[in-house]
This record gives sequence, structure tokens and C-alpha cells, in this order.
Amino acid sequence: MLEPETLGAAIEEKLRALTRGDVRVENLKMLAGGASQETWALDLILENGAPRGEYQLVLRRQLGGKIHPDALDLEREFRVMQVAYASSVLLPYPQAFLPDLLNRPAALLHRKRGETIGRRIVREPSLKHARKILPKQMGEMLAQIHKIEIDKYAMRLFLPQPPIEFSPARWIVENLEKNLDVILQESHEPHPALELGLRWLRNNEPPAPKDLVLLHGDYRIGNVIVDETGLVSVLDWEFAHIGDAYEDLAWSLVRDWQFGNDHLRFGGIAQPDEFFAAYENAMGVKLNHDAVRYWEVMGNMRWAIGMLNQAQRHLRGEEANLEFASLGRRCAEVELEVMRLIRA
Amino acid sequence: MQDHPTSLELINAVAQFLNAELAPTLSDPRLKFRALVAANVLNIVARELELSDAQLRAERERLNELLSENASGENLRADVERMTRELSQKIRAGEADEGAFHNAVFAHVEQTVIEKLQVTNPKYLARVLDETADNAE
Repeated sequence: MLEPETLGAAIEEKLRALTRGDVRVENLKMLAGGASQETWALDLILENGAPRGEYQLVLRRQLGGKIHPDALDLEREFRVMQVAYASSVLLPYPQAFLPDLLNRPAALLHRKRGETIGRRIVREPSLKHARKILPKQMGEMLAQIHKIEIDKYAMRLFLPQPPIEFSPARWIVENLEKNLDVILQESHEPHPALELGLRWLRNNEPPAPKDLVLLHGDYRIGNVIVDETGLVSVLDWEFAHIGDAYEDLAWSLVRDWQFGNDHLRFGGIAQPDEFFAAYENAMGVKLNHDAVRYWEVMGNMRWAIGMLNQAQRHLRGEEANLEFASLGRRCAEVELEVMRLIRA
Repeated sequence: MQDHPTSLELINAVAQFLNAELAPTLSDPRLKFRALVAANVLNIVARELELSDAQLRAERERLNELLSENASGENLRADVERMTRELSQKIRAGEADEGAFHNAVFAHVEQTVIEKLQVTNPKYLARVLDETADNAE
């Protein structure tokens, strides 16, 4: 494993060349590690050059392991974050992209304080007030993301998007079906519940929306920083793509993002009405509840197949991880939810 | 024949060790979470050892009925897997989109998911079934 001293020295050397000043890295500590990415916390002190100052940062480093097939690489994710930051979305300031830090791409982001763990956000007594205002804040913030002018930033040139012949829904259904076939080939494991879900998605496909928008792609409790005052930052932009706004809107209703509080359909903290109302107000639109329902089925299907993928990552030896392995068996929970939602 | 504890009893012993003895001593929250996941995985294996034979027999019966077959091989799991693949192809081809066959397939698949959850997460299953019963009232 990489020693903190080695990494710290590498960061100092890179930044010395860029700032032409003195650079000190302090309190470097690993926060999370995996086969495809690692995250570190550090304090950076820049003196006698430009810029100067003290920064509390997070360093994310892309490793050699295979990333999720739908995920952006770090460089494109960083570009999306820069656009979102410039468009007044709350997120940690993306400060620097280093294409080659010890032979790997890395990004420096401002470090924000607050809670990110979903199980705690839905239960922690000190976040009671935050839970009250989060649905409104998250609805408004999602509208802020969806208002980003994708063509002003030429985002079609670097983000995944539906091919011209498919609606956004059809595009995802086709991808899910292909994905399920790969799993069937590798594990010989058929999933009739998910096949029923796919048929339902094909038979109930909504018309393509007039405008496609920039989607966060993983917008939910668990991917936001929250403190006593509510929403602090939106994290985890690696699934950003271009598609149907309803995809993001329904994703936080997926039962597994309710963290066991499943009587509260919006992320385990509230009924979704306020979240939707805030989005409608900010966006100047009226939401269609059938479309929400359709994309809720889609979201559960996406996560069910995502769980099987994670289990396969473990089984293939790409990333030995007990949690990933156990997701293979948790898929049945989402299958039951899919069946409950599509029951005629 | 092996002596006691049986494999089921051994698995339960390890799960209890992880849950009650090891996890409370771990201060790293990520490590503690993984210890709890490990205990939970062992509980799944224990329930599967108890239930899987009866579940596979019932599932094969239902599949025989649905697909008008008479599979009765030595290897239960192989029979179930083969017929479930066949069923999945029929669903994919749109043969179970509507009518009586749709209803029969839906009921079978739902029962199979319920049986998976009896092994993997009976608490969650009970909660969802309660909720469904409440809504039906």
C-alpha cells in the first residue's frame, strides 16, 4: 500500500511546480480505499507563491482497478463538478485536477464538514431540524442541477447520453437488459423477477421528454453532506449523464435509499410531496405522477442489477469485498419491491 | 459421520462471536460495520442450510406445473436452474405479458422471491408483507 509520506511528498512536489512557492502537506490520512479509487483527507499550506493560503482538502485518486462500467473517469467527473460549481450548485469546490500523481489521475477538492452516512442522517437526533428542511432544499438543488445549460458547456461532447434512435428510458432498458445477460452468462443465474420488471418497463415506456437535462445520476440521501442546518454539499458525481429529469427525481424514492425507514419514501426522512413541490416551484413545471412511478420502477431495477454487478466484481476477483459479495443476496429485497410496484 | 457441533451449530457460534464479542470492541466504524455484515452473512448461510431443500422441492414443483414438465432429477438445483432459465426466456419473449399465464408466472416468481428472502432477510420480508396487508385492508 502507498505510504502517506510518499503521497504527501508527491503532492508537495507537484504543487511546488504549479504555485512556484512553498508547499506543505499536513495531517494526510486515508478516508476510504478500494480497488478503483482511494480518498484521503489533508491540509495544504501554500506560501510565497500563488495562490497562497491554508486549505482543508480531500484528495481522490483513481487507481488501476476497473471502475463501474457506467461511471465517469475522474477527469470527466471533475469537469462536471466544475460546471456544477459555476452554476451555483452546492458542492465541494473542485480545486485542482492532477493528471499524473504517482502515475495516477487525482483531484483535490475542498473538504466540507457534516454527515454523509445515510443510516445516521435518517436517525441522528441532532439532525432532526435538517430532516425537516432537507426535502425542500434537495428539491430546489436538483432543479438547480437540471437547469444547467448542457450546450453552453458542450456537455454532450463528454457525457454518456441516449443514442439518437432511443428515448432516455429505452436507452437504459436496453443497457439493463445487456447487463443482465452478462450476469446470466457469467453466473448462469436467471432472474425472472427482473425479467418481469424489464417487460413492464418496455410495455409502459413514457414518451421521450422535450428536453434532455444534465442528471446527477446518484442523487439521494447517502450522497449528500448534511449538518444541523440541512444540505451542505452534493457529492458523488461519477454517474452524471444526460437524460430524462424524472430519472433523478425518482431515484431517491428507491426503497434501499430509505435506510430501513421505509414508511418515509423520500430517502427515509419524509414523504416525497415537499421534495416534488420544491422542484416544481424552482423549475416552473408540473410533475406527472405516472412518470415518477415509471422511473421509480426503473430506479429499483437499476439498483437490483447494480447489486448483482457489485457481487460479480467480488466473484470475478476484481475487488475482494465482503460487502459487495453480500449485495448479491440483498438483490432479492429489491426484486420484491419491483414486483410490488408493477403488480397490475 | 462428524461429531457435534453440526455445521449449522458451528456457523451459529461464529456469527454470535462476531456479533456479540468482536464487533463491540472495534472502534473503526467501517471495520465494525463489516464485522456485522460478516455475522449477517453467516446467519443467511445458517437459514439456507435449514430451508433450502424444502424450498427447492417446492420451486421445482411449481416450475413443472408452469412449464408442463416432469423434472425429477437427483440434482434439484440443476433442474430448478434449467427451468428458471427457460421461464426467463419466455418472459423476455413477451409470452408472459398478459392473461392467465402472466398471472401464474407472476405468482410463482413472487413466491420464489419470498422464499429467497425467508433465507436472506426474514425481518425485511415480514415488514413488507405487513405493509402490503395494511394497504389491502
